[in-house]
Amino acid sequence: MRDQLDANISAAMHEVPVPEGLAERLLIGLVNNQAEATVGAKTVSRRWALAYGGLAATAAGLMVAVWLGSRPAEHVSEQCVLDEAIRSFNLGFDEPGHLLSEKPAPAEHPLSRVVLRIRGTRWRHLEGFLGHRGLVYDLPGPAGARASLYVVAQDVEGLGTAPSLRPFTTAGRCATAWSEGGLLYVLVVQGDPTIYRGYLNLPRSPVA
Amino acid sequence: MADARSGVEIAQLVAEHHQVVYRYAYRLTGSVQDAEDLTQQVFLTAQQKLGQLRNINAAKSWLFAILRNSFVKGRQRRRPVLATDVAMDVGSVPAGSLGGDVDQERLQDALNRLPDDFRQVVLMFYFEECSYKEIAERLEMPIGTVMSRLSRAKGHLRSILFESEQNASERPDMATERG
Repeated sequence: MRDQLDANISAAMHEVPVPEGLAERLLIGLVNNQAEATVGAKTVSRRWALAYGGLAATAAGLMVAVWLGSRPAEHVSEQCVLDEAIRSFNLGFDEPGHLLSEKPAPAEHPLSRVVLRIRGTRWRHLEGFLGHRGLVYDLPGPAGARASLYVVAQDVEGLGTAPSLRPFTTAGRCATAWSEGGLLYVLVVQGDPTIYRGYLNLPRSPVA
Repeated sequence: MADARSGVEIAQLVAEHHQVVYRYAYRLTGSVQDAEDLTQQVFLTAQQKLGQLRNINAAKSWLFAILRNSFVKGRQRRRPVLATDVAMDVGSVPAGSLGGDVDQERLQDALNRLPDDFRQVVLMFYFEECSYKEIAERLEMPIGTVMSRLSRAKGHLRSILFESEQNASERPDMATERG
């Protein structure tokens, strides 16, 4: 059985800062290890061993460039982003996250300026959203409705800079995505477009 | 050199899972350097055994299993802290007494003081969020042992975390011998 304290401890367990450049170092280690195994398996001269070492370093660089450097350039459509957010929303979550009023969210993934500040808003870390990490804000709503705002650092071509008043709707969900401050925001709301618009803090002139 | 397919797959595993593996490793080892070393060892082992991974969706659990095994192997040369060395005042803290955020320093301190086999069970419960049954199956131990260890270890964690909110001077007597 898990109680609230268990939930708090579980959430805290994941709050570990990851060192900069860890993925690159891991990949370089993997390539070097593979190269050493290759050299070790054959009786080669020192000259060839050095050549293998150089090759390994080059391969490591290439692997890093291909798998880490190229990721931001991956083409992700708006619909793909919406589908991922709705899928995540429907899965729900085990841990309630931190109350925004008690613990500020990390500054690199702020709450959008066009989403209403609602008492009881919580935030939690987001892993593996289209291969990215980020943050989710869970927003309470009227009559048990709920909404989640997903924030990740990802470029998506063709997005507007504010949420649309005409969201994508499916199976009782409304969703929209936009870019703001270099971040991708996706709002998913349980309910119809009227409830959806209740979460927005938009100017009087509609942003379509 | 690994063939292109395995190279791509291991790189993909690193890209997708290195952060969560590192976090788990840090909670197990309590040290940034040891955590990074352990993370590297996990992916080296994964690289060698990549063919055993049948379902990419199970990659995280598979990496966690490698992580636990690597950790245990790495600790076998060290003298472990015996469970009986750790005084765990299970009954002294009400279950719901800690309502706010968890103090990270105290949390890691509490983990570091646990014997390795207790820490493993605790992290499977809290980090992997496994059920008692899943822990028992994966560690191949009786479920009663899992429940007993979790009960004592949770009491230990709670007593240290609760202490930060109440009275630091009433800290339970914990053995500090480290493995």
